[in-house]
Amino acid sequence: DRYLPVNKGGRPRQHLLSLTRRAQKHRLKELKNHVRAFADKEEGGDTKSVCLTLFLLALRAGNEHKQADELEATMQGRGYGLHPAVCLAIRVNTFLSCSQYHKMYRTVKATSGRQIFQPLHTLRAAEKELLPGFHPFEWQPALKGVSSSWDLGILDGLSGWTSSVEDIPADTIARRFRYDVALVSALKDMEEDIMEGLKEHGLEDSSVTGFSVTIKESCDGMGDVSEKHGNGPPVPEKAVRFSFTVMSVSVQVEGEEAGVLIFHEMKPNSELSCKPLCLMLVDESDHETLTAILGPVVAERNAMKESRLILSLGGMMRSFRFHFRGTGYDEKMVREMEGLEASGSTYICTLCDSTRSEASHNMVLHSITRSHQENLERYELWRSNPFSESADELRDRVKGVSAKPFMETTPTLDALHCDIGNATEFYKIFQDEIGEMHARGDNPPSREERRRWRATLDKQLRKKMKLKPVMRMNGNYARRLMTAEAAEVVCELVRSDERRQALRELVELYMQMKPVWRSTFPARECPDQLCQYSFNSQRFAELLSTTFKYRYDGKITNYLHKTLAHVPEIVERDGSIGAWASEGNESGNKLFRRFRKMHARQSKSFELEDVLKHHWLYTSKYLQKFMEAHKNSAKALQATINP
Amino acid sequence: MTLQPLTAVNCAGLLQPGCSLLQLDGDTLLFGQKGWPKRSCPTGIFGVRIKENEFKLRPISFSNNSCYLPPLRCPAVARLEPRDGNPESYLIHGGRTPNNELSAALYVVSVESRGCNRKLTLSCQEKELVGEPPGARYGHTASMVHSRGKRACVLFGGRSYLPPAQRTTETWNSVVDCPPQVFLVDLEYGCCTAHYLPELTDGLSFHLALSRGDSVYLLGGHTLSSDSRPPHLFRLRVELLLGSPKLSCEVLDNGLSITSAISTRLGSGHEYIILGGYQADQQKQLQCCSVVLDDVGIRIEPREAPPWSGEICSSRIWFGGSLGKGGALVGVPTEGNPAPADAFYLYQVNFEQERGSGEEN
Ligand SMILES: [Zn+2]
Repeated sequence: DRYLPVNKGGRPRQHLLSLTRRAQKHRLKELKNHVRAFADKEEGGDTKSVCLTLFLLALRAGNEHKQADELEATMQGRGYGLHPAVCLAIRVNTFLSCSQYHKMYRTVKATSGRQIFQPLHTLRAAEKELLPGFHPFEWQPALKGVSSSWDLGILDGLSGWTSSVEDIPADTIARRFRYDVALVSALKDMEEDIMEGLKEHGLEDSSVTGFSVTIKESCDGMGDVSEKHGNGPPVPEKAVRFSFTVMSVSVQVEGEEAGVLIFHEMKPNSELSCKPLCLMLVDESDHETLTAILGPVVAERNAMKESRLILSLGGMMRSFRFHFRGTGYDEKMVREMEGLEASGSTYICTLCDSTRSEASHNMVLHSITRSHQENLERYELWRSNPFSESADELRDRVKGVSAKPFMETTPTLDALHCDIGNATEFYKIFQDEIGEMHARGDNPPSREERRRWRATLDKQLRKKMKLKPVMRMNGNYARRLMTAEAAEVVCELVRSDERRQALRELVELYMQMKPVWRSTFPARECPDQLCQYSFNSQRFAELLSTTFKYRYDGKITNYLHKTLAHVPEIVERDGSIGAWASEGNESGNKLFRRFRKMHARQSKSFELEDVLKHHWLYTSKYLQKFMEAHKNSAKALQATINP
Repeated sequence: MTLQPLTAVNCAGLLQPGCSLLQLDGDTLLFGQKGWPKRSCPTGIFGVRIKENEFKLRPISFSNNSCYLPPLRCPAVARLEPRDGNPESYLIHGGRTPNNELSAALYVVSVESRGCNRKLTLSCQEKELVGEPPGARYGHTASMVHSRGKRACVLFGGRSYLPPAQRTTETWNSVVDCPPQVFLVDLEYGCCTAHYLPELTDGLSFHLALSRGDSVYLLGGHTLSSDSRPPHLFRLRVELLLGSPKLSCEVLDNGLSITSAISTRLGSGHEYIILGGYQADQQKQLQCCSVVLDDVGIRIEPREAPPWSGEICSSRIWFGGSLGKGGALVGVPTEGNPAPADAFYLYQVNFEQERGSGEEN
C-alpha cells in the first residue's frame, strides 16, 4: 500500500519496475543527466560506479548485506564463488586433505577479500550426497542375508569377526561399503547420463519396464603399501582392493525382446570409472583372511542376483537387475578364487581343461569350458572321490580343481598380464635366437652361455633402443619390446637370414593379433585384424611348432596358449577383451598411495576410511563433469598451492 | 623338562593357529594347514619330523578309497584305539575351512599301510551322520567313551555362525555359542542322539575334554554369551545301554579357568600335562598342571612350567599341540618391522626326559 504518485493525466502512475525499458529510460531521463554530470565532474565519468555505489549504500542501509555482497561480487565480474560440487571436485582431484583445503580457502579469502571457494562444511554436505548411504531404495524380494537398512556408509570389513584370543585376533583392518548400497550410489551418480540415454533413444518413461545393469568386478593385491606413520595394531603392509565398474545400462522396452543400450562406459579401463568397494590391509595370498573379509561381499552379490532393485531415478520408481562379471582378476587371483592349482600347474588354463602338453601340440583349437559352477562340482568330486581313484587319477578327473571355489569369476583373458606374459616369452625367444638354440639338438646350453646371450640382448636393446633392462617385465617394457623396431634390432644379432625372416614374421603376426585383445571395441577399432585373427594365430602357431620347435615341444606358456586358442571366442562372447581387463583397478593402486599420503590421520582404520571415501568420490561421474567444466580453476588452484 | 627353539625348514607357511597334531602309529601328523592344500601335498596332512632342532613336514598320501577333506581349523578330534580289527584312527568333526565355512562333516582318518621306508599312507573316510547330528561348528571337543563293551563318541560345545535367519552380511563373521547339547555318535552306523543335561546350562568352547572309561571330563572353556572363562569341571557319564543311552553329569568344584590349552599324555596311563592356553583374553596361562584320571575321578595338580622364552611371555597368542610322549609343539607369532620371513617362532616342550638323548636339562 505504498504511496503511488499520480500521473499528469490523473491515472495512477505505474511502478517503475513494472515498466518497459523504454518507459523506464524516459522516466529517469532527468536523473540520469544529473548523475552523468556529477560523474563527469567528480568521478572521472564513471557513471556505472556512481550508480552502483548508490545502490549498494541503499541496500546496506536497509541491512540487506547478502544481496549487497552478491551484487558487489557480480559487478566485480567474478560470480558468487564456485559451486560446492566444483570445490569438492577440485579438492578430490588435486588430492588435497581437509586441512590443506581449509588453509587454501582461508588464504584466498584473506588475500582477495572474496569467497571463491566454499568452506569445508559446505563441501561435507555436498559429499554426503555422493557417498553410499544417502539415497533410499528397496529390493524386491528383500535380499537374503542382507539387512534392509539403506542408510549405511562405511562398514567395518571384519563384519563381526571378534578379536578374542580363541578366534585368533584379526591382524587386519578392512573397510567397505555394502555392495547394494554402493551400487545405488553409483547409479544415482550417473542419473543424468541414464536419463539422457533414455531421451536419446526417444524412450517415453512409461514404456520402460526395467533396467539391466552390467557390472565388471575386479580384485587385486596392491603389493607393498607400507607407510612409516600411523599407530594401531601391527598389520601386514600389503593391501587388497575389490572394486567394480558400471559397464552398461540397458532398458527393457514393452513389446521388445532385446534391451536397448542407454549407457555404455566409454572408458572401462580408467581409474575414473573403477569404484572401490572394499579396502583391506591383507596379503592377497592369505586365503583365510581374504575370504573372511570378502565372504559378506560374495553373499551380497549372490543375494542381488536373485532380486530386483527398486530405486527412484529421474523422478520415477524404476526397477534394476544386476549382472556381475568378475573379469578384472589376474591369473593368480582367478586360480586362488576358483580353486584351481597355481599357475605352474599342468592344467595351464583357467578357461579350458587343456594340459600343457596338449596345448603345445594343438595350439589353436580349444574352446572355453570351465565355469564357476563346474569348478564347484569338481571340488565336490575331489573331496568325495566317489570312484575310489588314486590322487593322480582323481586330479585328472577334476582337472586340477582341488580347493573349494570361493568367488565366481568370469573366465577370460587378462589383457594386461597377457601382454606382459607374452613379452617375457618373446624376450626369451630373442635370447634363444641369439644363441642359435635351434641348431643345438641334444646339447643344452650352460647357464654361463644363457647369461651371455641375455647380456648381449640387453646391451643391444639398450644401445639401439635406449631400453634399460628390468628386473621384472612390466607394461612399459613389454610395449617397447613388442615392436617391429625391436625385432629389427634383435635381427642384427641373428646370423641366419632364414631365422631373421622367421623372427620378423613372428613379431609381425603378434603385432597384428595384439590389438584384438587390447582394444576396447575391436569390431570398431581394428575390424581387419579381428577378421584375420584366426588366420594369424594359426600361422603363428605353425611357426612355433616348426621353426621354434626347440622351445615349444611339449611346453607352452599359459598366456601364449590363451592368446592363440581363446581370443576369438571371448571376443565373440563379450564383444571385447580389453574393456573387461583389470587396468582400472591396477591404476587405482597408484591412487591408493596418493590418497594415503594425503590422509595423515593418526590411526590406520580412520586412514583407510578416508582413503575409501576419497577414492569413491574420485570416481564420481557427477564430480568429474564439474571438474571438466572447471579445469582452469583447478589449474589456478594448483598454482596457488604449489607456486 | 626342556624348552627347545625349533627352526621350521621350508614349511613355516603351513602352520597356523587352529591346526591339529595327531598321533598315529607312532608318527605325529599335522592337520589344518594354512590355505588350501597345494600340489606338493594334496591331502593337506603332513608327517612331522623334529631332528636336531629342525622342524620338517613331509607330505602324507591317501589310499585310493579315501576322500580328500579340507584343511580344518579348530575341529574336534578324538583318537580311537585299535579295536575289533579296526585300526588306530582319529575322528575329525567340524572346524573352519580355508574359505571360512564351518564344516559339519565327520571324517575318520586311519593308517592304511606302511610302504618302503616306512612311508605312511592314510585312509580318510567321511562318516555319514543320521538322527540328530550336531550342526556345523568349531572350537568343540570330541571324546571316546567306553561302556558295557561298546564305545561311542561324545561331542560337546563349540561355536557357530548366527542362525541363517539372523545372520546378515554386516554380522557375517559373528559367532555364537552352540546350545549346550551333548551329542552321542554311534560310530558303526553314524547314528546321533542329542541330549540336554540340567547341569550344562551354557554354551562352552575351547575347553579341554579328557576321557577314561565311561566318563568325559570337561575342563575350563569360554562362554561367548557372558564372555567369561568359568573354572568349570564337569564329569559326564555315559552308559551305553541297549535301548537308549543314559547320560548324567556331575559338577566338580576343582576346575580351572583355561581355554585353548594343549594336553599331552605322559606314559601309557591316564596322566596328562596341561599347558598353554589362556586365563583371560589378555592373559596367557603360563602355569602348567598335571591331570590324572583314575577309577575314583580326576586329580589336578600344578606342575612346574618350562622356562618360557621372552617371545613366548610377551606374545598375546600362542598355539600348538601334543607331540606325544609328554612333548608338545608351541608356536608364537613373530613380530618386527620388516616382518620376519617366518610367521611363527616354534618351540618343542618336553616333560618326559627321553633316555639317552644326551640333552641336558
Ligand atoms: Zn585354454
